[in-house]
Amino acid sequence: MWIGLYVAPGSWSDSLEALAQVTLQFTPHVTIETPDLLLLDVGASLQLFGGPEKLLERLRTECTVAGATTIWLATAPNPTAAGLLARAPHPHVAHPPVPHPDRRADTPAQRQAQLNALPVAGLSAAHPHREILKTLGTHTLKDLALLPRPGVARRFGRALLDELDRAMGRAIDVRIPYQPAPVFVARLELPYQVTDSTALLFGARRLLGQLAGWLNAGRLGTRRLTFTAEHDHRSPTPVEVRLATPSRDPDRLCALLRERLGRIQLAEAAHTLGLTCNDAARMGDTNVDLFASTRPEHESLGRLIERLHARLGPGGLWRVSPYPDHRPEAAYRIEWVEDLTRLTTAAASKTTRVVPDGIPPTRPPGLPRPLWLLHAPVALTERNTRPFWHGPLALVAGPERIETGWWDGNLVERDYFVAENEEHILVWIFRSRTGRSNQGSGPGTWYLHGLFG
Amino acid sequence: MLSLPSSSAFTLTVNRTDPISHLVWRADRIGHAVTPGLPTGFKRLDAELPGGGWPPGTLTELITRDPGMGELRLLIPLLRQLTRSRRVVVMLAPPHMPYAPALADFGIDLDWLLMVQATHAADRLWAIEQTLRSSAFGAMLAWLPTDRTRPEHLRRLQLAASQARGPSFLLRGLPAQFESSPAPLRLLLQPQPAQRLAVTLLKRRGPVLAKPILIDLPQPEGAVRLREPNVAPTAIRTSVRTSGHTSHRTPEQSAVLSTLRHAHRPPPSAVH
Repeated sequence: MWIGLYVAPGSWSDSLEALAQVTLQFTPHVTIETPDLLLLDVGASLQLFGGPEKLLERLRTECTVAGATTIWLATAPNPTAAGLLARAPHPHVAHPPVPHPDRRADTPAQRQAQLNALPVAGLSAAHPHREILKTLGTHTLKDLALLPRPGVARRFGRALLDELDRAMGRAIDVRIPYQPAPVFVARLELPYQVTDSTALLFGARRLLGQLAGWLNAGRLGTRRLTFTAEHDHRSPTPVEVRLATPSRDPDRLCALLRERLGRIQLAEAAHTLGLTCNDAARMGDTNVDLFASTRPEHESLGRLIERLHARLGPGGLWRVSPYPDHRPEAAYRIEWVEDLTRLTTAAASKTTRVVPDGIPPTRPPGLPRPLWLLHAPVALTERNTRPFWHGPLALVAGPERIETGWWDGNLVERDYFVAENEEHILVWIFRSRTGRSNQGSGPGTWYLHGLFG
Repeated sequence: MLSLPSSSAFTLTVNRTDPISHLVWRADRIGHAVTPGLPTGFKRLDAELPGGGWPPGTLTELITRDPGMGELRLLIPLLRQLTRSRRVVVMLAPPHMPYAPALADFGIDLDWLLMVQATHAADRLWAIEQTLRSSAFGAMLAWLPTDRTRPEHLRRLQLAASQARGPSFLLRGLPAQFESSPAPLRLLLQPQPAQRLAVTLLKRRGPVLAKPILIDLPQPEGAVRLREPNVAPTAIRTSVRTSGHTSHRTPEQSAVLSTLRHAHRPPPSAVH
């Protein structure tokens, strides 16, 4: 099945190639027929997009988002008919810019009737002969089809008959698909000077539609995009978007960009927005689920991570792991999580390492460790020779002496205790044995270092 | 005069034919959720929770005076089970550093514990909502900003949580217990002697439970057991000697004795 997409005059400022790239999201076979007409072979896409109605609806939405405000759509079994139907004036609806309903036919008879009623002037081969055809009383395609064929061929040329046959589906109709450029670069002149970074999103969404089509045509997905806001007097402001997994979904890319733009201040008004795709990788297609609800959990986790990462910045997501060091504050490592691969590859590699149940890591047996460690030890006051934190503390277990770290200048000489206050909160405290410890107080001072939670 | 069946026969027929009785929750019973809860690891708590465990797809509020009063050890059995079955547990804006050696001692697979740092209150609420909406987690623990949380925020979060498949916990401070909240399950946690935690069910789908549930907080595996602080060590030793049979001991004494046997170090003399 073919879709004819006619762009009403004045509703698309860019070249039609840009719009062709947008429509590449729906099919790899797009033909730029004339400067205002695109033909899309969507026969193979109907199942994927859930039928002709949904496909037409999504196509219209994408084109509107991309900036083509008035487009006329028509479906037909062959490209010539789709083009003719798309650009034919609708009998009941006013001329542009009012969009008229998509021309669709449910039965072959309906489609034939639609085709029969089309004006002859729509055929490109009929252009030079418009006046003569009119005086002959040949207004519609049906009128033309009723004329004797040899006579038509002699008077108006073979080309007119060929075009008529193609439209009626009686002749082979081939279109060469549009080949997008190997590198994606797109620019959009903004309709007005933009000072607020979030207002760039509107223009960015138009570019993302093009990118999505370009990626789809090459079966590619991107993991890194760079937008550039161009200014009059300054060098352009780059805005980079990173993804956890390759994607070509414009809405997902746009959602990430929204979070990034919310954190950016433009130094000067921008007049043009550019988009380059730095990192495009081949991306497999996701199979359509039989049951739509079974979206894999790790896929949505990847999206969650990239969304959080986009807004909270590089230090927003992390994991901890134990590290073999006796000093409590050095006995763990923080690992920043940037994308899903960092999360899952480490976890997957761990499966090869057998971790038997119930065996703690390589730490000698000693006092239990608290679940919460304070970022810095808090000095405690002492009352009646007992450390005091929300009431006097009673020592429950200890001491565990930790005296190490001379080699890197962070010498620790402490006696750790587990203590409980009158509210029965378990805490982890230590008594500094020297004044040389990096907390700077004298020996014998009590510190709170952790909570058992 | 109408001949009605006797009242007992009437109720019998109603019960047998009523197709919706299991959908109606009567306020004198503990509600049962459509999806069963995840076991908490504490039998006495499971028995009192609707669904028999932590409810998935709704918010659960854990209210403590300060962070670090037992709320994390209450969740340890759940975290251990989830991380070991390779489900991600998200900890959103933890108040202190979650200490890796202790978590590992409890048998938690740290690869599946994801921490999210969001300093600003608006960022934090946004991140909680995004996480809930994504439903890509085994469980979520979020520490709410104390002063900037309003009821409409909670309603929004509760709505987002309905899409989630795992249980979601909001950890809040004491003032929250007097505020209304859309969370269907609200627990007040208070530490008790001997490493116990008193769990008061402020709100649940079921009759009011006046008495708090006492649960024994889990201890890390392999670490030295702690002894009871309020009982003098010498007194316990004498009681061991004097009481010849175990049947004479109170349960508390037995517990203390067992902890003492595991203790490797002598208690410090200069403490009390």
